[in-house]
Order: sequence, then structure tokens, then C-alpha cells
Amino acid sequence: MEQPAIQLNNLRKTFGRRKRKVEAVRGIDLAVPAGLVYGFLGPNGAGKSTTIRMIMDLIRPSGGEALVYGRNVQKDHAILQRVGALVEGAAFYNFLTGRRNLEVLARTGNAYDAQRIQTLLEQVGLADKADRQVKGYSTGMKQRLGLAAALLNDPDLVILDEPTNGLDPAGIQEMRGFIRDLADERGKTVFLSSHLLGEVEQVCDRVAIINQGEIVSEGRVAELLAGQSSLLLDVDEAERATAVLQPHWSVSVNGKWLTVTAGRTETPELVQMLVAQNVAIYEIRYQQQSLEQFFLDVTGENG
Amino acid sequence: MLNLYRAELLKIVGNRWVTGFTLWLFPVGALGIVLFGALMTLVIDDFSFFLEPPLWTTTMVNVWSFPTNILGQMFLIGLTAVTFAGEYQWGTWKNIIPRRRRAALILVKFLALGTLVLFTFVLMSLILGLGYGLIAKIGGVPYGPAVTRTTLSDFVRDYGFQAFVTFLTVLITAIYAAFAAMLTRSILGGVMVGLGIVVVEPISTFLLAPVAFHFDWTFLLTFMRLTPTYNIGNVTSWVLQDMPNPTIAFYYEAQGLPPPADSLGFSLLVLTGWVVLGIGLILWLFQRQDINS
Repeated sequence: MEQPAIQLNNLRKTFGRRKRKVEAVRGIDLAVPAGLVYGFLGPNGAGKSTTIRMIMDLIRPSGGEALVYGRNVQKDHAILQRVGALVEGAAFYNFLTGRRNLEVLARTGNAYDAQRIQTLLEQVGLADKADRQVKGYSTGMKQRLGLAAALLNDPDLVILDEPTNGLDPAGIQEMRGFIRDLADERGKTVFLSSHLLGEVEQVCDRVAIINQGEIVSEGRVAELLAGQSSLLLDVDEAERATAVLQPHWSVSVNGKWLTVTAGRTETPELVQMLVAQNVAIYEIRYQQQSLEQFFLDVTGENG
Repeated sequence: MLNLYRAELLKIVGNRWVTGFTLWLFPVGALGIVLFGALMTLVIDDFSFFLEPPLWTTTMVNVWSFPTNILGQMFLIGLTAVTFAGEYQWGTWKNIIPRRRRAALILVKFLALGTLVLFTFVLMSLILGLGYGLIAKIGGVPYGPAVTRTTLSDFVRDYGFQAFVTFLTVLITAIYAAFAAMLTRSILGGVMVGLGIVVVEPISTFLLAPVAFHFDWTFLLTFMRLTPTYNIGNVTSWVLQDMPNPTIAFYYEAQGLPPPADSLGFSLLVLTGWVVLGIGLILWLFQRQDINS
């Protein structure tokens, strides 16, 4: 079996001591399979960036371990040569040009190749501005440069923390395509942290949701949302219909609509039951819960 | 390692305002002095330079005293603080730490700073040494001493020793500033704390002897003989005057005791110990630091 790109075993991080102690990450276990676009979601302060920083060996875990391709990043720092990351907003040497910044980073990683830098600059749409000082770049341009920096060493695993921050709608769409392309065309694993849930829903194969330092939900996007779909029924006798369906599904009445927590595939069976009991059905609507709704439910941010 | 070193040089030299005011100021200033001197020689017949023209050997060796005085150290502290604390302040550690081991990232900063300072002052000494020769030529006065085998070998020895002492001083000052910068994670903090240490350390060194004798705490004398300031003074004294550091002798003589006569080897060993200990402490600190920004 292929080694997971990322494996977190009971990973913990506590900041401060005694009364000022804050448990940012509370023993999370996670396995990110290679070759997927994996979404890592959570509200502000949930522990996303702390987790990413532990994976990148920027923060020492208080307990547990972070493995990249089966190797502990703290004990075997060199494994990070297979990783490229854009962590919490791009940060550069403002007094250097974009190209020079990439050269500095490439040389630091002992992977300097002027041609590759030029290719990456073209891919992220910065080739014509590469020789300008970064202090004159917009946030979106810095993000693009950050993406180029993350790909400098042709990594197998790309970690992107809020990569669309500062991008305009066209840039976001472009970035989305670029991320999918990394996995589909170039066989890379992408670990994507984002608060834009619509974006994650469109791009990611699998997601983990972290809240208050703990993983509260994990799985394929389709699987997570499958159990969250419902059918809306407009029937002549709501009370009788409820009595028929309640032994099999969760049912509630909202005005003229009967809401049944059931999947799309269960519709024929449900209809048959009602027809058998002479309940007249005027309309059926299928309602799929969005990732956003699901996220709000599992993180308890839904009020 | 060569790539990492080049990356560090690109970062330091690329920060033109900072290197301009802390490094290039010296050779550019020297060039200004030479041009001014040449101009004055052309304009004024009895320009005072020619009443006592300096020796090229003295001119070039004396250049190395610039980075060791308090003003020179201030520039160096500024440059070191930017080099180390800048990575925190600009949030750039997060880009480079995953690419290399932390120890290599710190060591290369010291190496780059050390070589840049050496390059700057070699350049400054060449500008002044050759420039004064040019002025002397314009003014038609001799510019000695004559180049003989003995003069050259003496010059190379003195120049090499003086450069070496300066390098040690620079390294120790850089360690102070780097330590302060990494603790405070701020350029300003690094400069302020680094300056504090550079001012307090020599003062406290020279206060240790009178305090030790006054309270009869002789263990303080051992401390004093282990401080960087005392040992840099001792190395300088051995190199230039072929005798141990005389600065604190009068404290001992006042007590009717023989002054300390530590050898050149002892002081070099102590200073090497300080450098190893200082860099080791910084590496230990950095290895344990969480990069949150």
C-alpha cells in the first residue's frame, strides 16, 4: 500500500504555561493519501495553521508526531525537500525582486535552476513583473509568487494555506484550475487549507474539518454530504405521511413541506410507501446540503 | 553549502539601504577622503597632509581598528540585527526553514557577515593605502616605507594579526547582536539589547577588578580574565606590543600584587571558547524556537 503523503499521529501543541496555557491542537490523527487534493477546513483559531506549521517543522509538537511519506519531519528534516508550501500568506524580502526572491529560496534549498524559475514565473503569470521589487507587488501578486516558491523544488506534496487570499475572482478560478491540475496532470498531492468552503467543495477529493484543535469530521466530500441530503415533499395529508415515513426516516414538518432526511436513491421506495397508503404527492424536491452547511453544523457555528 | 552562502549574500547585499549605511559607508567614506585629499592637493600648495604624510603600512593596518571601536560596533550590531531579526520581522523564516537544517541557516549567516566585514575593510584599507599614495604622488612627497622584503613580511604579519583580532571582535559582537535579535525577534530589539551588551560588557570587565579587591572576592578576578574584552585587549597587546594586556595592571599594582600575564595562546583559547559557546547557545535557542509568524 502506498505511504500516506501526510500522517499525523496524536499530534498535539500547547502554547504557554499554567494559567496562560492554550491547547491549540489536541491530539489529532489524520492520514492524507497521496495523489489527492485534500481539504483542511476549520474556523479561525481552530488549529489549522499550527498543524501545518508542525508538518513543516516550524513548530515543535508538544506530543505525537507528524510524518511526511512515512518519515518524522523533526527527526528527518530532509524529507521536507519533497514538500513545497505556502504557509499563512506569502512573505518575501521586499527589497529584492520577485525573481531574486525565488533565486534566494532555490539556492537555500540547493535547487537553483534559472530556467525553472522563469517557467514558474510564466505559469503563475508574473514573468513580466519578475524584475520588480516585491514591495511594489499587490497581495494577489505575492500569493502567485508564493505559489511559484512552493513549486521551486518540484515537490511531491504541496501544502497551500489560504492560497486564494488577495486574488480577484478570475485569479481564484485560475488558482482552482491550477490546484486540480497539480493533482490530475502532475500527480502531486495537495493539502489545501481554506476558509472558502465553496472553493474546497469544488476542488477537493477529501476533507478534514478541525475545530478547537480536534478533527470533527473526515472523509470524501461526496460521502460526507451524502448522509446530509433531504427530500422535501408536498403532500395532501402531512400527518398521515409523517406516520408512514417516521419509522424509516427522520421527518419534520415546515409549513406545507415535509422534510425527510433521506438520500436521492431512496426516493422511489419512499414514494411507493406513501402511494401504498393513499397519500397524494404533489411535488418532491431533492435538497443536497452544501459543504458550507455541513461545516457550520459540525463546528457548531450554526447558532 | 556554496548555494546557501550565495543565497545569504544575496539577501544581505540586496538590502541596499542597510548595507549602504553599515558596510559600504566605510570604503565609500575612504574614497571620499582620498578624492578630497587629491582635490585639496591640487588646489592648495601647502596642504597639511604633507607636513606629516602617513606610512602606507600604518594606514592600512589601522583601518582594522574601525570595526572594533564602539561606533564601528554600532554599525555592525545594526547589520547583524537586520540579518537575524529581519527573518522574523518579514516572516521569511517559514519559507527557508523547511528547505535547510536550522543549524546551517544560522552558521551561514555568521559566515556571510564575517566575510562581508572582512571584504569591506580590506577594500577600505586598499583605497586608503593606495589613495594616500596617489595624493603623495600628486603633491610630490615621498610615501614610505620603501617596499623591501622585511617591510613586506612585517606588514603582512601585522595586517594579518590585526585583521584576525578584528574578525574575532566582530564575531563576538555579532553573537551578542544575533542573540538579542533572536530573543526579541525584532530588529529594534536586537539593536537596543545588542548595544546594551556591547557597552555594559567592557565596563563591567574593568569594574570587576576594583570590586574584587574592595570586597576581597578574588573569584571575580578569574571571571574578569575570562571576559571577551580583557582577552581581546590581551591579544591586541601581544600582537602590537609583544606584552600582556596592561590595562588592568594598576589595580593589581595598587594591591602590591603581580598583574596577570596571560599568554596569547590562553586568550585565543578563551575567545574561541566564547565564539563556540555563543554560536552554540544561538543554535540551541533557534532549534527550540517555534516560528509562529
